Amino acid sequence: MWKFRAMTTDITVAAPRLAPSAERALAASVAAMFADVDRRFSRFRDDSELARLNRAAQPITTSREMIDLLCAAREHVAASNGLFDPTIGAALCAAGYDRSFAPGALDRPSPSTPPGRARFAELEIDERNARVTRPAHIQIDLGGFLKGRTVDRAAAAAPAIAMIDAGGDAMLRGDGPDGDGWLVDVEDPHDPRCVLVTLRIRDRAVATSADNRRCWRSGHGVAHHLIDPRSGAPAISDLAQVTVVAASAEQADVLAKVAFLRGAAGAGELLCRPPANGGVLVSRGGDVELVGELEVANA
Amino acid sequence: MAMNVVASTTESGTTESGGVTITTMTRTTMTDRAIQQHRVTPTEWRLYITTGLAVLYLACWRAICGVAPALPPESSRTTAAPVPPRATLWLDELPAARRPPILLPAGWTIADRGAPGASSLRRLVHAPVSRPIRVRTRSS
Repeated sequence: MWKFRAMTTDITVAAPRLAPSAERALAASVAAMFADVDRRFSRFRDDSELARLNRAAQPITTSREMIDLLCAAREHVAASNGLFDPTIGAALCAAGYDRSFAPGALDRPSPSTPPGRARFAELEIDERNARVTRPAHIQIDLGGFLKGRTVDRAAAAAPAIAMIDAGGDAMLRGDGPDGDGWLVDVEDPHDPRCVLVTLRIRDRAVATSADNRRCWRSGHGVAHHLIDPRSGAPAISDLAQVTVVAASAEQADVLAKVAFLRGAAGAGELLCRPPANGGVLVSRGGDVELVGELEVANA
Repeated sequence: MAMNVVASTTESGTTESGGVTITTMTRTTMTDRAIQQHRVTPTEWRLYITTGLAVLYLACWRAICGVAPALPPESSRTTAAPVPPRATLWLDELPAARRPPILLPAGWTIADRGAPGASSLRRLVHAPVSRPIRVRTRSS
């Protein structure tokens, strides 16, 4: 099992049936993949393609990969009725998330005012000519969606029994190291030292959204990274955490965000049907609800 | 223009020729400006001493070490001895059949030259494997 840092999170690669040298080579190739994606699509790097798009005042030609990303995002926007929307970049900056996250680095003395609403549909994407036209108020943040997508890419290049974990967004290929499935501990958002439930997962991805970690002081309150596109402000949810099991890490990451924004009333219905396979909902009060088809290893 | 005589030398000689004594006297004089022109300044002294030491050093060097070997003629230099082999080379520069067997420590691998992941290889950390392998999902 190998670890490295990328996209401001810990990435773990394990392929338990590979020889150590082959497993290390796999981890090295995954590290290179994450580094390349981060270099090209981070909104915090001035030299990235995404930063260039976010600065463009005129229609610009982008890479085919950028077009693919935007087209995939557009499908998630449509499927979530706009609750998932990567054009929240300006709202994230206004909330204080205007640089790479580190604990305490984003603290600000006064609260911010959300900008006007941005909608993904305002972005003009010319797929054939790979050109994108960005209205001035639109800033794109690919965030967790990009991370999940990169996990999937890395997992596709891994052996049949392998695990790629990007800070809790993980793709678990095959039946696990011993054929009994992969064990996934769902962390308690109220006490990160504790595990609420352990799931047994086979050939599926898992992702978790919560507002307890990537957060910062904003005036007398606390802001976090889960922006509600409807308000342009950090989401207010009666859920403390949502964990989703789905066929891909990209899908699981998007669904976890959307379920968090929908709250307890709408999350269960979302996660008990495809494309989700199930989920774990944790309320603000600490109640844990399992929805969908999940195999629990221990309660 | 009058000049002050500050030094003079007098040479005299007497010859006798036929009972007649002839006395000759030569007198030279130097002016103060001439003396200043011929006075050795400290800078000049240092130059003389340095030059002298350098000559002495060269003389000693030639005496002890002999004459430096002369360069071979141009024609012989073009057919000089073969260039010694390079001390280092990349492994993939060798034909596969000539590559020496390399025993790597556990967990090590040989990276391709200039591979995009070459820099990230250094940051990889081997984590101890707990059985069973567990994944911890959380917000990140």
